[in-house]
Amino acid sequence: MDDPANDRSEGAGAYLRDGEPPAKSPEELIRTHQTGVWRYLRMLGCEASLADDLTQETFLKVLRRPSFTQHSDAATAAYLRKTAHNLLVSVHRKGGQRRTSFTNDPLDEVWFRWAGQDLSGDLAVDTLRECLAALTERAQLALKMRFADDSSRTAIADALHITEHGARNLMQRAKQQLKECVQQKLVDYEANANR
Amino acid sequence: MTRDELNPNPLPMLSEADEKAIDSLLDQIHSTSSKPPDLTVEILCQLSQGSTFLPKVERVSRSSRGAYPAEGKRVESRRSRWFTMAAGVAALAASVALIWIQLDLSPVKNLTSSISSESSRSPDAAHGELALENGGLLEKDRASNRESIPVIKSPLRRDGVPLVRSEGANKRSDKQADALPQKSIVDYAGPVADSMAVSLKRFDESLSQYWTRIGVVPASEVDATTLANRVEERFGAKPRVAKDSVVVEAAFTDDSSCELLATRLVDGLFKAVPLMPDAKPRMILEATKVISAGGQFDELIATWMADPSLFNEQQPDQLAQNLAINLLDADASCARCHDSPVDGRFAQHDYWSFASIFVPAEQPPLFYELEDGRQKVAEPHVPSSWLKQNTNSDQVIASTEPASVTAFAGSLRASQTLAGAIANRLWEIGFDSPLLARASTLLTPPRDEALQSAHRELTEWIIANRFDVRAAARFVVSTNAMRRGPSDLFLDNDWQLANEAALASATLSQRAFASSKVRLPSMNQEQLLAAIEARVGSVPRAIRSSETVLAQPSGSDPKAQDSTLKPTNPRPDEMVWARWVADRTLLRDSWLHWIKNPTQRQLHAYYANGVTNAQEEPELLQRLTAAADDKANAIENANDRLAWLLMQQN
Repeated sequence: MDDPANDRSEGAGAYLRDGEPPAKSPEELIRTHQTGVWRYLRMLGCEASLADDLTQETFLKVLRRPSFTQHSDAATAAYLRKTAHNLLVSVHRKGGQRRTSFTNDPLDEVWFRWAGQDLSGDLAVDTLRECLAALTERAQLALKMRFADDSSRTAIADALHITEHGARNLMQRAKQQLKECVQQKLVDYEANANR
Repeated sequence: MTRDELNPNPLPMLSEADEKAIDSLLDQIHSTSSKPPDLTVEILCQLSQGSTFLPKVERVSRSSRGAYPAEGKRVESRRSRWFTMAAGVAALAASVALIWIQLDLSPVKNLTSSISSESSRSPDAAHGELALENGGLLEKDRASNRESIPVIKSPLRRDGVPLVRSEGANKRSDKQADALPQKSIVDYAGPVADSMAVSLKRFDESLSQYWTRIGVVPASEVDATTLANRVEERFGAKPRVAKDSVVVEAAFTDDSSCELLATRLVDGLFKAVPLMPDAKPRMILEATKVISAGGQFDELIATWMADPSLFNEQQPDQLAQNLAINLLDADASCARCHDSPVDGRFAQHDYWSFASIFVPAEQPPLFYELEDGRQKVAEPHVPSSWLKQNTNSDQVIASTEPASVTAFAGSLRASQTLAGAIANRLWEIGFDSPLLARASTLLTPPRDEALQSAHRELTEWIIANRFDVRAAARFVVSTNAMRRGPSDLFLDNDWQLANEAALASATLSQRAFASSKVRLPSMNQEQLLAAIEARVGSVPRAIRSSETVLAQPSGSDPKAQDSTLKPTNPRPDEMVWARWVADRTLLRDSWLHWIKNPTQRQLHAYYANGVTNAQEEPELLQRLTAAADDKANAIENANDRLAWLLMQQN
């Protein structure tokens, strides 16, 4: 893996061509992509605070790079994600963590599948919220306890009067349902948008 | 158990990546602390750090609240190292450029060196520092080394007007432009706009705090179109409205709007200053050029002050008094005759010392009269307490007080005092009263730390932007106070149903920067007097909350008002009356009422309005006294009226 501090890869940094939309100002660029970068970092396993730090670092690094020129929103987003990923790897390395084995590409593909429609992931979040409402009450309660209250699997099992193994299965099935529901809705959304 | 839990189908296997994705999104949905933050301002401000004129903003991070302290420090220290290295390289480049220029290179070569120096800097540095002046010496270096390094005349100075952010400085050949990062010029507005957002936030918070402390409830915000019209009315420039918001960057972009702003600013800064006949048009023209080029207004004022052809030096007293008031925000009105009893910083000997620097060398020295009648010669110098030079500290120029007009002009450069005065003059353009009024000014809302903090914020913004008046005007336009509409009482015709106390309260709120400035109808002294006399018979000394309704004729019964009557706009005399009622309340709390001697109070009513050669106007005074509603306090009330009348005509 290249050291992110020395990363000179062009990524989206191809120079602007004729007929392409004008480059965004730094402010527009940040407003457009910050949510996406932050959510991507969260998807990579960052805590919210570290995602805050690395989002700022990502934009500073990219905007200070003389060779950076905007090509398209999608390309810029990919470039920012790559920079963010490299920074995270760097953080893990310097923190003595050996979590550098994951590669960028599979996660990037997953990100696209989940949140690539609108750069920010807002659509995916909204869709997920809709799908969540369609789950059974018990499944919703289990996920709420897990993510909102940070409850243990044992606590969830006690609350639902099931075994710990049952709680795990319940949440796993719920997530699978959510995945199918969200991806179906995103496909429908894209189809409607292309009409 | 539900059917789902008894599902005999095998457990679906989510991939690790998918599960991570769902988990992170579920976390964001459920956890209030996991919402994506808006980091725009923080990033832009960090991006612009390294240029001295943008306010530094602390890195905003959840890690700074304890979660990841080590990481926050780590990144900061790394950035500090890079910054230190960059600063070292820049300083070295500046030194080389300085030596090169001192070898008497041609202006063309100087310009080339400026460009090459700029091109070698990082793009974010180029955003902030923009054009170089004085042959490649960075402006911030020039400022810090003003005393030790001789100023080298910039090739960009034309028509005697010093321009730092010159259009010409940004013009490069295509070849040169290609060599530079393309976004260095295009992106300039972004970081500045966002650093302004940070300062504005602090400014608005201070002002809101002030309003709360003095009990003012700001009126509701106006819509974008109304705001744009308001800005045009006051500043002469109508900003563009897009997507229901005013585009502040679009204000003061054309020459005509810059000229209108220049006219208003020159009027404010040189109000009542004895100028030579052709001086003002020239000053407005030069000010327009500097404003439209985003140049340094302190440099321009320094140039003017050093130019004897602009001022009538036959009137040093008037020159000193009005320049001190307008350019230094000094309480010079009191200090002319005695040490200021309301602001201890301004002593009589300081006033006359300042006045004597304007006395031409061929004329005899200036004498002034002490309170005991003795005459004393004034030693020319600008009091150190009147002029803060160092913009980053409270240090004053104690050892080297300017002792001539030229030295005074030089000390105005980068002066914190001048920046504060410009802030006040700009605020006057927008709101009719300075942000931080002099203590001796009648009819000003009370001073407060929060208000001083707001004034300091605007002053620092002006300094940080190197006295770019256009940027400062945009700042004022963007403040919360500008967005506030007039008091709800003045909307539609509600005022007709309001009692005097409510109306007075609303007017006082407007004076406290809560909303738009109140425009009184244009009237001469006779008309004004008639307006405030009109209700003398029916209005009591104190405002009674249940008394007169303004729309009613004097002596009529408000309860008898026909509610079906369609309300009409206030008549001019009614507007004047409402303002007088409100102002009278403030006047009664002012220092004017500290003076027990009626004759002295009358004289001070003149002095407070800048009339130093007060002439008795027996007819006016007799009429003012006769019209008093309270015979026991006729003279006292007459003096209040006199002060108010003079104020309206000032």
